[in-house]
Amino acid sequence: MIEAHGLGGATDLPIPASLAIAGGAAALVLSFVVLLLAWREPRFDGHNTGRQVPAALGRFADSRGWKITCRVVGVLGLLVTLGLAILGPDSLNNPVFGIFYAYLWVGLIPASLLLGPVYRAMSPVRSMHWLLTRISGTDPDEAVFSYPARFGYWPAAIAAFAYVWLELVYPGSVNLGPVRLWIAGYVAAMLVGGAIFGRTWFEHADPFEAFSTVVSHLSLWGRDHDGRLVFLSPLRNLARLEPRPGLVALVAVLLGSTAYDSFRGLNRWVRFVQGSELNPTWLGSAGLISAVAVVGLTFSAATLAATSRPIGFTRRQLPSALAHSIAPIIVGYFIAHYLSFLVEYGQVTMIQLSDPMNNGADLLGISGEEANYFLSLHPTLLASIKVLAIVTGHIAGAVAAHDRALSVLPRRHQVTGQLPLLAAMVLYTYAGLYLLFGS
Amino acid sequence: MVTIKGDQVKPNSQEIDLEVGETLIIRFDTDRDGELHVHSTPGQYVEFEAGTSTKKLVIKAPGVVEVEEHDTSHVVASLEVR
Repeated sequence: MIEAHGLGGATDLPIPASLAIAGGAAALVLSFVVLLLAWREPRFDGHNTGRQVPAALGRFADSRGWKITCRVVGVLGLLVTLGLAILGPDSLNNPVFGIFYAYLWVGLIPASLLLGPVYRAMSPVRSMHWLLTRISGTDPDEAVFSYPARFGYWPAAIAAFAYVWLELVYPGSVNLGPVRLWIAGYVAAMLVGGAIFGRTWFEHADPFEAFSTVVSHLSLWGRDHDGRLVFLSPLRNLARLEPRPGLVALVAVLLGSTAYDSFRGLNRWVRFVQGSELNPTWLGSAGLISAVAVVGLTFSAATLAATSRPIGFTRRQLPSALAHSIAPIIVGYFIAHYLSFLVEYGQVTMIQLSDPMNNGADLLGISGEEANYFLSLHPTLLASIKVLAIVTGHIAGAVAAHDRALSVLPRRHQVTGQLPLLAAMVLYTYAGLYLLFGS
Repeated sequence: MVTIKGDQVKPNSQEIDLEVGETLIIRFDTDRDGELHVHSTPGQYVEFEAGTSTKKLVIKAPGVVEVEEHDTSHVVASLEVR
């Protein structure tokens, strides 16, 4: 049985035109306020040491017990997911789909915003790699080949694309076979890469860890030069996201895939696909690739147009040097697009977990309960939250880009050089509002 | 009006505006049995039999609801429920 329309019930109503217009106007005006009136010296780059957390909190976060707890939770999560994927019923009543698509992917955002790089701390593939090195008596950092720096985040971007393609394009996305195969491929790729390149592989190639790390740079948590836990303002933290090759590709996959998820729900697209003689999977793949390519290419073009002689970077590195500014836009758009899905389908998944095998069990004491659909029942509130999330993400992105532009653009290009990037950000925000407006 | 001849399902994702609690009347003209999967919250099914028939559908929560013919995964309607 194929469920072409994936998880969850009804999708959100389109946002009202008045809200979309107000949000768009606010984004445009505030962009220019940031550009023209904001500070003239970089504030977030350089002196980013942060403020020491209370000593007890630092000791707790670095304690062996807490680290082991995180690892155990991660490994248990993988075991539960695999158990459900192998032994559970092949139907939408199986909570594995909610775990895999809602908790793991969308849930990474609130978890990483609140707690920092959670996937890195819990990563079951890191734990498996550690165990394998213990068994073979090698050092987990030991590598057969050292990881080539020029690969950067490219493996994670490719793996993230494979994930969103399974979720958004592949017709069997909510069947157990494809989900099992994807997880098997993921674990195998992580362990083989880890064996070849050592532990650094996970940071560059694990799509969940890379996504979580990008988002965690908008949290309050960071580390100083001595590795101690510190508080940081989110924008300072964001400026510390290391520009590496492939960062643009990674953020383009994250933002482009979410835009495609909105786009594929537009009735015009549904009618076009159903009326077309072409294979829907090919059409969907083309749509997803186009959405990712539009983000990646417009961002690269806009940043390359900023200046021919950047300071501290080569021109080719400019897009990566500014790519951190897309992170708040991704978070804003994820909140707008997936909030009701995460809250409401998240509850459905939890209720399903109480009776995972559909045999009448009541493990969590909530079997048969009804989820709370407060957000769906208050569409105006939901629409307002969405527009607010998109506009907030846009402003934070514009501020982050402005600050970085001050340190990488030569003085005479500092204002004009920011214009193309600002135009690209306004484009993303308008496209996001348009897709939510759904006309 | 939903017409089905084997794998040929019509209409192609017709847009329909609906109020919460309003009754939508679906007329069927089909050469086989089947069911519509209504992607409302919570989900609903509308079963139909070969021949002509009339069924009722009520959506209880606002949202955009796709109505999909089960065997072909063809979306026959997109309901905007307010």
